[in-house]
Amino acid sequence: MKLWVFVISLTICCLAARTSGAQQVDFVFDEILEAGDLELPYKLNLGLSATAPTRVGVDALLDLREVQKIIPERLADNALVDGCGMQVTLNDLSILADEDTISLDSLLGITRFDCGRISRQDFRRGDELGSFSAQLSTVVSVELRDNCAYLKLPDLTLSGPESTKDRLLQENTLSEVKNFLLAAIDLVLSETPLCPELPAELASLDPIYEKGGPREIGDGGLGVLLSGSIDVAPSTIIDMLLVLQREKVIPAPP
Amino acid sequence: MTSGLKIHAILLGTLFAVMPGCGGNAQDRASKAGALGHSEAADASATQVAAVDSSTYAGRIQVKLDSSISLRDTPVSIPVYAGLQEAGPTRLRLRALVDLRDLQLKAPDILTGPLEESCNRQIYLEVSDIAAQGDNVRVEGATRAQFSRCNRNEEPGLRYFGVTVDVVAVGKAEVRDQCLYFTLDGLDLDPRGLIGGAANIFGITNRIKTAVLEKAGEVLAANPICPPLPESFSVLDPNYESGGTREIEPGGMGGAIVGSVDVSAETLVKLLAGLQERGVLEFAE
Repeated sequence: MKLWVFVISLTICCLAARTSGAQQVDFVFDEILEAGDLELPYKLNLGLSATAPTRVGVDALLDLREVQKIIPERLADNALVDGCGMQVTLNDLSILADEDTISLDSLLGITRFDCGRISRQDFRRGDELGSFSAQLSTVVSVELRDNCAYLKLPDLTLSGPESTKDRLLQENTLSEVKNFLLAAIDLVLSETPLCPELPAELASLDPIYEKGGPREIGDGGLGVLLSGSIDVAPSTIIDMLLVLQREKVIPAPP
Repeated sequence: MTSGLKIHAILLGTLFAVMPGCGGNAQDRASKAGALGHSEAADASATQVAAVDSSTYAGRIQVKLDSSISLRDTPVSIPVYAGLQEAGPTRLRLRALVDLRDLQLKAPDILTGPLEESCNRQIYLEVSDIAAQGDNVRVEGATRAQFSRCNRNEEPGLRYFGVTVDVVAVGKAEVRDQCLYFTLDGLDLDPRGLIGGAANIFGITNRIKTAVLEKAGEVLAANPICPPLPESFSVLDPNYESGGTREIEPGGMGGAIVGSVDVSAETLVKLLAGLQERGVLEFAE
């Protein structure tokens, strides 16, 4: 009974807080995530609310639904690994967010080849030894560092089909592929941090993010939520006004 | 004689009241400019008589607003200078200086003229000079009152009493809200000539004075000058604390308004929300 009262009063309080608009302001900015030579567009939904007398709470929701759509298209039918003895393709990649987890699933096409050494440094791919598919499934986590969100792949699971002629070859291959994928993905992700930047007009707000994590947007949409705060000082206000004066929003100085 | 007192009262009340009367207009303009947002900046350039001492309003950010009002079909410009400065860990100081020199220059011409022309009394007002004296404003002028009998055609007939009174009024303004409220502190009436002298002897001058002070006080209180401020400053919800009329150059009239802004998280959010609401900050479709 008491719990119900608590839950209801909490709901009412939160609804009330949402409807008092003066304390809350939301902006949407266009951002670019640079991944290698790819420029991936995403949106930053910035929610600012007065949480304490001199602190403005910041919720930065990075809407990565466009990235979620582009990445599988870009990776489809391209060999992820194309070495002398092995080729791996990434098919049917799906990135899905579910509340505060991001899951990644894909079907890997793995082909093994005979690989012979032809000189001290050169190898030559020989006959195909066999090929099979494996299911990749993993969960992506978010780490906050230097005010940027880094996507991380702590681990991944690869499962091959039950009936294969050469079970040992398959198991060796899968663990090799797994290690390779983990290292490769880690390298890529660590070089593509999500650092939401505010437009020049609002740059002086300088939010400091304290925590971050995955967040589902709509139905399965990929998002990352960063929460933090802005310290408000009189100079922050004047900085803002000066920017607005440069933008000719307020009258020029005499 | 009683009617004579009233006339003088109204007359002098008007003399002072028309000046601050522009206050209402200025306020209208302020809200209009606010509604348009961008127009605030658009009209911020006009010709200026002489620069105003910037130390009276300077801050880390300062603005100049060229607003103008219409007084009896005469345009009068009242430029406003305002500055904001950090004044403590959670506080900003706002200082505004209103240049009232154009008003001071044009007011005598605008105000001089007949105030009443009925068949039984005709009252003419002549303002000769308005000058700032330190924190006070000194208005010099004269009123000529004539009393007559109405003839059959409702025209002034036989004139039976006429008096010209030299008037020197001293007033100043104090600050309430965003406005300068004028008050009349002193009033010197000096009736001219023999009849004027008679008015003195019979104590009429004193009764005129009392009535004028009362009547003018009422009118002035109802007609403050409320200089427009940039909307972005108003969003900060300043508390206006002090100010008043100022002598901004020898004899030159201005108004000063000083206030403070308590800076909080709420202030920043309100500032941003206010600006976004007006479509000033649009970054994404």
